Amino acid sequence: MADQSDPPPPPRPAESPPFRWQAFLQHAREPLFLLNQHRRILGVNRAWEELTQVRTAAARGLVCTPRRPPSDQGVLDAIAAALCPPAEVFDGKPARVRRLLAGSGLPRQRWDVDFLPFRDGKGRLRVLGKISRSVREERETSPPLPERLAALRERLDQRYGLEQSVSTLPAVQRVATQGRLAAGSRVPVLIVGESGSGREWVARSIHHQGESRELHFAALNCAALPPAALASGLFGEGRLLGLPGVGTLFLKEIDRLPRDLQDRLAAWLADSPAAQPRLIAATAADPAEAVRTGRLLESLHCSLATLVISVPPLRDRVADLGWLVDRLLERIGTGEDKPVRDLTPAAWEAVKAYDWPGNLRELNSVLLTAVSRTQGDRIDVADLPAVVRRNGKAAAPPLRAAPVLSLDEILERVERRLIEVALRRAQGNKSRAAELLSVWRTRLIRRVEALGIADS
Amino acid sequence: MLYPQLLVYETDGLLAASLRPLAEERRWALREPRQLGACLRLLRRPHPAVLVLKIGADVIREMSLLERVRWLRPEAATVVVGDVENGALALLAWHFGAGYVLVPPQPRFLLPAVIVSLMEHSVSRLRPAAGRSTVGPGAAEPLGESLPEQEV
Repeated sequence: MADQSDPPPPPRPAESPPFRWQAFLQHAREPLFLLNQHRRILGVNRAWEELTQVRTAAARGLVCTPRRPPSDQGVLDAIAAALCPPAEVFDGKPARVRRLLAGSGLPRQRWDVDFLPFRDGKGRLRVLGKISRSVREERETSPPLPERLAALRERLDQRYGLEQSVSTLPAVQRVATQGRLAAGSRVPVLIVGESGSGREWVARSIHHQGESRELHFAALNCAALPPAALASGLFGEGRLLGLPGVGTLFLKEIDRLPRDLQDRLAAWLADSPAAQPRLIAATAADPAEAVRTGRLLESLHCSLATLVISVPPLRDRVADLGWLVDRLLERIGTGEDKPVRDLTPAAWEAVKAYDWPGNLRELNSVLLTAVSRTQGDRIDVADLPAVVRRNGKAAAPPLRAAPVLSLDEILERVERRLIEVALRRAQGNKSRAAELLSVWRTRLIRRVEALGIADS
Repeated sequence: MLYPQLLVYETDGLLAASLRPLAEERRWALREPRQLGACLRLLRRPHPAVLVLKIGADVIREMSLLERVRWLRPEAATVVVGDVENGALALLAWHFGAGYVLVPPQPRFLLPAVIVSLMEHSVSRLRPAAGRSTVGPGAAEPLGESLPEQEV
């Protein structure tokens, strides 16, 4: 039963929100620059200016090629040549190179330069560049993990590669591209998508592909936790904000965070030092609508929405259902003697026709249930829940004959059903339920315990 | 009807004993699996569930369970509880997907409220597509249904 206070699903956007690259550059603390398809610098950020001692006005328009027409601007020549992207970047492939940067005010040393190609809202190729030290900064980390724990962590971390999405759908590929952009910096990210659509997977993927991958990821569900726990987790003694070792903090359903905590979080984002966990937030609501109705503080939204990633709902990913179901069945079947690997054609038709309002989470739940019911090595349409079958366009198959039950099993089912209905009618009051069933209260209590019935 | 399950995984039964009144009051089924496999089997059922995991006795095993739960049933909420302050272990639990971690200095008195809130959220997300009618007050149904319906 849906929580009445759950926000309605956001209207499907005609297209993803445009990438606000100017805001992205300005909010990032790493030295960043943006190139067009002609290798011309479109913009740089303050950190880039401070590193190179070259102002934006002088940098804008520079063409980053190995050879430039001779000019008296030696420093600019050297910087432009050092920031020349390799050829594969213009084929859409990210790249990292090590370059010697030299110039007034610039320490003479090798720097890592990352190039991330992407398409802007008008389909034009753009390349985001980031400059970072080649020698990794010393970080305060926990002592090395025992080998088995390290292996366990490695196994978990390997599941979150953005390249693992084999979808060819533009909306999903856009998520992967934006995720790689996000992984290349530490700007806050806002992920918008329906519940169950894979927002946390995107957040973890950004973390595991970023520089802070060796640190930890922590997630708080603002809709599921009580305010006191959220306050303690965020700002209390063991707070996740500012705790060394936390690389990314993911706040799910950010519009459900209590108002006073939103206020404190916005203030923290404005005042926090460079060494912070990277913040990623998610919401199922339309952010603009949430701000308009007061569910989301505007100041917090502005801080978070430097990079907005829209995750498509499952109903818009029918083409992906095949490999998604395969992956989920493989996951469910791990460790089982006889894993179920496939669906019958009729079951596939029903799965493809269903709307999946609960998205990937619902798909996982349905497959879990179906696997537990199926008696063969394939899920049949009869193994699927009625709501999935009913929405399917395939003709309803004949119901399978119920398995043969013993008399005791049949009686136990009947008894359980009658007690559950009585308790529901009596709103949990056992005395009233016993009256409805015309039995002694003590007998009802004994049967409830014996049958393992829990009622609300 | 899918009744909520409160699973408590620990070695000595003390945590389960302290949570039993809460489970009885809320009419949740309290389960105390002692083996990883038994715990995972219980979580494979479509019932709304919260797993309370006491850490410290066997960290490898406990983190393995957390990692498996995350993988198998990501929507099942887990609360990790510890008695001794251990920041590294707490962070590891967060990383492996705990819904909340109550290891000192996090105050233990938050545990009941956290469990109740996570369970209510889990129940509210249960959809008819999971196979059965949802938990909680439902539409009134006539008594006297003679035979159980074909499972839907």
